[in-house]
Amino acid sequence: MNLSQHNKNPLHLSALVDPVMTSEAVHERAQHIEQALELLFETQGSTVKKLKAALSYDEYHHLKAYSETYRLNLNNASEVQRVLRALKEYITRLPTIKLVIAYTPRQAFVEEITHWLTTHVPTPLLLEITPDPCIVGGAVVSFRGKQYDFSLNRKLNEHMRESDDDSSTR
Amino acid sequence: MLSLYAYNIIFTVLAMLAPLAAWALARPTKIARRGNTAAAHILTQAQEQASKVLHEASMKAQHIITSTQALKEDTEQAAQERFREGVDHAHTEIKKMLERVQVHTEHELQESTEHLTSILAEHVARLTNQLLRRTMAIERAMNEQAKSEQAQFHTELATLKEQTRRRYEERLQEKLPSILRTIVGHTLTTTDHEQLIREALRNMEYELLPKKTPHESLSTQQKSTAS
Repeated sequence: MNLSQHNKNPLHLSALVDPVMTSEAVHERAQHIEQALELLFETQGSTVKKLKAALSYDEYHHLKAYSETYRLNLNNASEVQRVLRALKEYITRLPTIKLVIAYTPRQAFVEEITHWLTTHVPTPLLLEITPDPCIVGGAVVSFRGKQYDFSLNRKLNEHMRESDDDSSTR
Repeated sequence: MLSLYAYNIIFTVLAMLAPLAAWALARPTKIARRGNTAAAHILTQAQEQASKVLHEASMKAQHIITSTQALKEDTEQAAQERFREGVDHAHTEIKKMLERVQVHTEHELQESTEHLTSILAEHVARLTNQLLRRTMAIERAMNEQAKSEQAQFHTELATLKEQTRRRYEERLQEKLPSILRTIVGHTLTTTDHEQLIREALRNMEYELLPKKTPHESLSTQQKSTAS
């Protein structure tokens, strides 16, 4: 996994997230964190049990691994709350790569894209996929405030413009 | 039958005799005074004779009156008969005259009708000829106009066809991109889409990776050349 070289967060929150997360996954993760924070706000009960109740299996085990690496006491509710709040803000501010494609992709292909981005792009980042049949095929990619049009729509337009120019010169 | 002149005479005589009769009636007294029986007898006879004459005269007058009345009635009847005969005759004459007039009028009417009919027939024939000539002229003019309109129509049709063809081509050119997109979009399979996306990402790889400085690029090239 290619960890970000620019992670300046002292909590090393990148260790708690996947290298590439889809917007749906981020939304779901944020909800789980919110549920966990609500449970942790109550004084009674075990912190670990509350975490297990609110988070998914993977999320809890991620947190557990993190606590072992970075010495987070999972029984200390206030520490856990601090980390979870920071994590929630962190995942909502991840750099976003927007992909406009012409169809609704299969989950397997989304995972393929995720894997490709993981190996070719500084991570972690948020992947937002939007289906739009108007682009016909290919993709329109938006990243770091720029847009790159690799759609079939653009290629067709260019091709037709060249055909019109050819017919007019004849 | 007596005339009025006769009646006049009779009554004049009677009128003349009336004083005599009165004198005769008055004389018996005088005669009686004188004592003359014969004269009184004559007078009495004269009186009786005058009475007889008067009686006869009155009888005759009565007869005359009766006769006159009868005559008058006969005259009236005859006059009426004559009047009736006259009226009948007049009726007959008038009837004959009316029949003559009717015959004459019918004859005149028939002649006038025949004359008018012949005049009308001539008019109709003349007008019919005129109408026929004009109709043929109009028909000729219409045929010529129809020919020219047909030629114009063909020209306009050809122009319209050309315009329609050009407009159709323009519309097709306008619509072609969207038609093409629709066809391509429907033709692409999931595999095609995935392949295109992979290609797009590969093209993006350069943009997505962090930018290297010119020094880093040169050293990378030198390393690759050395190897």
